[in-house]
Amino acid sequence: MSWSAQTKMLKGASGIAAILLLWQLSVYVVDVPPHFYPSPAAVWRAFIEMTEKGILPSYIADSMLRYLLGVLIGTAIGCALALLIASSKLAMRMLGPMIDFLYYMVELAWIPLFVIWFGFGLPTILVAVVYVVIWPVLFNSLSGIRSIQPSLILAARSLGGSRWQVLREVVLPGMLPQAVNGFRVAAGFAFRALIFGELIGAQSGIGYLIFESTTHLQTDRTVLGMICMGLLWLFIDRNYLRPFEKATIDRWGMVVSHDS
Amino acid sequence: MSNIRISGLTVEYGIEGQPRHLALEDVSFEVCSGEFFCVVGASGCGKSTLVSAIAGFVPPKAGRVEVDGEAIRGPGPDRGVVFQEYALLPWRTVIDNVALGLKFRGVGRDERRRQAAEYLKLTGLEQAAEKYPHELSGGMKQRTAVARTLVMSPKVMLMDEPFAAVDAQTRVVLQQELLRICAAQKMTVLFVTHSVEEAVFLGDRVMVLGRPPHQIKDMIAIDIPREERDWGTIATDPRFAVLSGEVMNRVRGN
Repeated sequence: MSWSAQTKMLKGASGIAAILLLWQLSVYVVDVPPHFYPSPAAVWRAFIEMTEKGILPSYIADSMLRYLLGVLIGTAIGCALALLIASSKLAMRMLGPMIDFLYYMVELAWIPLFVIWFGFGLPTILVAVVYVVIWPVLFNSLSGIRSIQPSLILAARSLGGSRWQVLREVVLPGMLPQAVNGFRVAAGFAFRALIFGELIGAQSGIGYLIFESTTHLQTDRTVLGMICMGLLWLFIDRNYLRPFEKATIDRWGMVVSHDS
Repeated sequence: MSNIRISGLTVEYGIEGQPRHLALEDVSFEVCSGEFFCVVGASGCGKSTLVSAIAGFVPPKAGRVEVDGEAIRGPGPDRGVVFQEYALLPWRTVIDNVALGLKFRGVGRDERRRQAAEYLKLTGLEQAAEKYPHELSGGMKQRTAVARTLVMSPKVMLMDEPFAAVDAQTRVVLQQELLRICAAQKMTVLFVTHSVEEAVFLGDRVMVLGRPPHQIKDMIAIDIPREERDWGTIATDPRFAVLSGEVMNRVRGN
């Protein structure tokens, strides 16, 4: 690690330390019951306790699994629907306005209904996450397909490309840059849907931890859940989404900006 | 021997809620094997529709299109199409663009790259094989598009204003190169343009197309031997001036 990177990290770490210190001090100053305003030390103790009991690791694993499954399934459905709809003018006309509307319908609004339909637990959360992933992926993939030059498809067909070959060689690569845009939006939506879904419809997971602990006035656990949520998103974003974004821009960016 | 036979071809275009537009009405003509056949006309006369119909992109309302005696059904690699806007895949290199049709045909990677390389040589693109389309000039893009259709050994090549988007100097070079390549490949070409000079320079025959009805205004044989088609000398050739004037008159509707 270079010298400047080290000092940058040191500065960042001391910033966090200062916040924690101020937080701990403020607990002494405001002097309210601990369940009303938990101290960082209490959150730390909750972290140790829940980790030792294995609750926190299993909650994190549950949340991650739901997130991953939801994003994968939602992306697959969104892309598949886009291809299906784009292959039929009628479907495009019939479904276009509905897609626009559903895209703007806030995912939260569905969750109570999902709970009735699918009960508490994985199915409801999964449906909520899949639901929010589908629309941005579908919306962007469709506009990606629409942006493909018609002559590209005609050229491929006149070179003897079958329907399937034209799909693979022209339509899929042509829609990819926009589909990736949709996926990046969807990945953020999915994380919020996961937490919202778990607040209402789960019996494990980080969202559930936040909601459940508040009802028992275990606010140290609530804050722990909030911190875990932030760290989890940071982890996903830094380790997966940003490298993915960079890779696609490096490979496809030129394709978007230079029409040939 | 005739290679393309068009008989009674009528093509309509329609956008829902609007009166249908008659692009071609009862058009009949034949293109001979190995002939360089130019179609010239003002914009909106249906000359691009003619290419689309022969390529199989639009179904005719009436009439037939036959290539080598067979009625066409939809697009196919026996009719190579060169578009004004190149229509190259931006995410594929030049050589992979040229090899695309071979890939569709199921030719293995090494073999199709070998064949594509041959046609890159023919079109003067050896140096550009591994470049992407956005790194090429307009002229090189169109060379790539020509190589991409030639590699399929089509019976005919259909060209829809292929040089309209390239600069004047490049266009002159491409026109001469095209004549050379087509002569070497004994290719039958149907070439659509709005430029009278281009049509007369390239064509063995020039068909003047107007709006329906009676769309074929004239069919003019250009009796200048191919060897003498050189922009350096032809511009002062009286035959070229006379024929250009004649075609121009017909395009204007006199």
